Amino acid sequence: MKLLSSLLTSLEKQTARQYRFRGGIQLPGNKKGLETPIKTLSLPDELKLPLLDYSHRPLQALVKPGDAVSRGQWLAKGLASPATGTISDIQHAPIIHPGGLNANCIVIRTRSDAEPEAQAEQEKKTGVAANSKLTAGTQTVTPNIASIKGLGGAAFPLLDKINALGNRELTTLIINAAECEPQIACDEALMQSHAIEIVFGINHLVALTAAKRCIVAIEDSKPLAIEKMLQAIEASNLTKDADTNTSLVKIELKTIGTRYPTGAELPLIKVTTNLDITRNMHPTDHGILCVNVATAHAVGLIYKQQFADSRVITIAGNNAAKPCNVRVRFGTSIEHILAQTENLAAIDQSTIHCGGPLSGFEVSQIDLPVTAQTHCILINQRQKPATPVACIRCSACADSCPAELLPQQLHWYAQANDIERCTELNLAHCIECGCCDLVCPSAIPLTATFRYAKSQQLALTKQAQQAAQAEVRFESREKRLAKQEEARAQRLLKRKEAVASNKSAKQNTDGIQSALARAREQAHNRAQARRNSKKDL
Amino acid sequence: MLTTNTALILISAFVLVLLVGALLSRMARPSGDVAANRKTVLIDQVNELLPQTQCAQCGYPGCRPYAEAIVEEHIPINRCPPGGKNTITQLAALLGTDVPALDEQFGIFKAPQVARILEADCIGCTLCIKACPVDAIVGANKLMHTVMEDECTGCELCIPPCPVDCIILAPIDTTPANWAWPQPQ
Repeated sequence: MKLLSSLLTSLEKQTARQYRFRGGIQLPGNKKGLETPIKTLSLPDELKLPLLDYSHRPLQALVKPGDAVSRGQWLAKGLASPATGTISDIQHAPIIHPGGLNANCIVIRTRSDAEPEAQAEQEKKTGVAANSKLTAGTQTVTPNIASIKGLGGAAFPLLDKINALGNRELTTLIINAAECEPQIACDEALMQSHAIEIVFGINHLVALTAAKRCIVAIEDSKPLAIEKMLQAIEASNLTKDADTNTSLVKIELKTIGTRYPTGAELPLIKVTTNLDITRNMHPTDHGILCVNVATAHAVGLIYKQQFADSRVITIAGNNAAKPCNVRVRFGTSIEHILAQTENLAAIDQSTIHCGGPLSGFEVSQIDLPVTAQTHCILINQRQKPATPVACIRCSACADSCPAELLPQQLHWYAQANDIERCTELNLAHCIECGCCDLVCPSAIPLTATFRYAKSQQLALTKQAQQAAQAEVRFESREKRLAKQEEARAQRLLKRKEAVASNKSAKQNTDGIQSALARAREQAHNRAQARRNSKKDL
Repeated sequence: MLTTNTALILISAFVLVLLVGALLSRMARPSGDVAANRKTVLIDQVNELLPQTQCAQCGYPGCRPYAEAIVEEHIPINRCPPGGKNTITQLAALLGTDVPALDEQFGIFKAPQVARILEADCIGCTLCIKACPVDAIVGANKLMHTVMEDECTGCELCIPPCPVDCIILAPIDTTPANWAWPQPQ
């Protein structure tokens, strides 16, 4: 007990200092459904998996319709099958997308009876045993780690994130448990109910990355999650104290202020380490890695020989009959989730919003498969958007911008399609958090305009790349044609020379020619003589 | 005595400055090589602003030849239909000229497009392969040809040689990878 309290005080001392990031706004959390435990949804009969990577580039399928697949098998690069079953089709189907687009999807007809079998198979596979001692940097990467995608919303592959470090030492591993956006509560629910498993995952992540320091950052508006996490972390740190062999660092817990968007990467680094990342640098350049708390839990699942093919999704919104947090297999349709959680009743009078209230977007139908990116589904009352009026130059947007941009200026240039000036004003650093929209007294759709301008910026960059590529191809073709032309000219020249030398060879045949001419003349003369004698007769 | 000395020093300093100035200005004067070099740099800059469609609608066999003609022969800058108004504005800014309207005698501006071969109709004559300025069509004699859409510039040069009219130009498909957020009203 004494040890525990001394540990507590040392922890507090270490992490008591509060840092603040510039901008941001205080928002009411409005997080619901935390009283009930996380419900695991039954496996649906059909799962649909879009063949797209995290940035929506198409993936090549490794399976074809009719194939039998087992849970955990690769369907495409980085895309593991979330269930055992049969591929019934690969079809162009609607996906969760702000533009309501379609994409190629693998459709799996699932077999729920094969679930225990798949689990047994997974446990048989070699990997780091759950209870083996952890030593920093020596842990092997099991193949299934490659299937883990970031569960904070972007779904960036975890391995790619770790590999971005290269040879640099990982000085600080930050576990992002801030969950600052209103209404989203999936991480908080996970921490309340699965703190021990999360800490298990964090320890494996520390071992995997050989981190020198590990900080779990939680907003102070989540007291129960903090309590549960603190207990689990203390228990884990005590075993590290007892075990002299381990080189694992102790996990620190840092309570941070509740301020949106503190869960975004750069504000989070600022509030946990007081480090400002300059615009042209990346956190990995400073030896910092931010990993979402749910992703750390997924790492734990893999090292417990389970699967990381599901996630916790928050169902909320003012028209949600039963707000809750549910664990859902990737590829499950929104319709199935809403039906199973008894939230389908008011659907006709509501709009469906995927993602957080500020960072997400509306979708026009509910037969869409969820992915690792879907952390929240909101069922909201239909409401008319406010009519924007003229900017009054109050600069509230600039004050609230966590990326330290000038939204007013950016807005003028974006409206005028002057993307070059937007680039100069660091448009690319806009994190689309929506703070400026919330504080704008004129209800100007700033974030939507910035999203538009960023799309245009990307399109221009792509266009320039394609032009450069076309130029290279054109020039290499010109070179090739010139080479061919020269080879042809050479060939002709050789032929000409050959003909000329043939002519000189012809001189030698003159004797034969003249003999032939003489013979012809004689024959002619004889014929003439015959004709003359006939005339005489 | 002192004043004469000071005056002398001042005058000699003045003369020295003049001499150094004359020497520097002589050194800074461009020789023939430098002027030629400047021209190639300008051609590169003009070429960079052209869309690299290599469509030859301007009357030159490609974008670089047109850039050379603009710089060397002062050919008008409004003969590039794929570049449209944007390219003309940028060229005018670079060359310090007025912004003329696109000369529609050379063609009209079109949204980005790619060529697509109707596979059922292709007879495998290889004529389009020879016409493509960026080697974006693959195929062989009497075998079906296909367009690599990522490489196609939509220049339309493959259309006239096709004996069976099996090449069409289509707008680029909107996919999740190239989708753009709409501009708010």
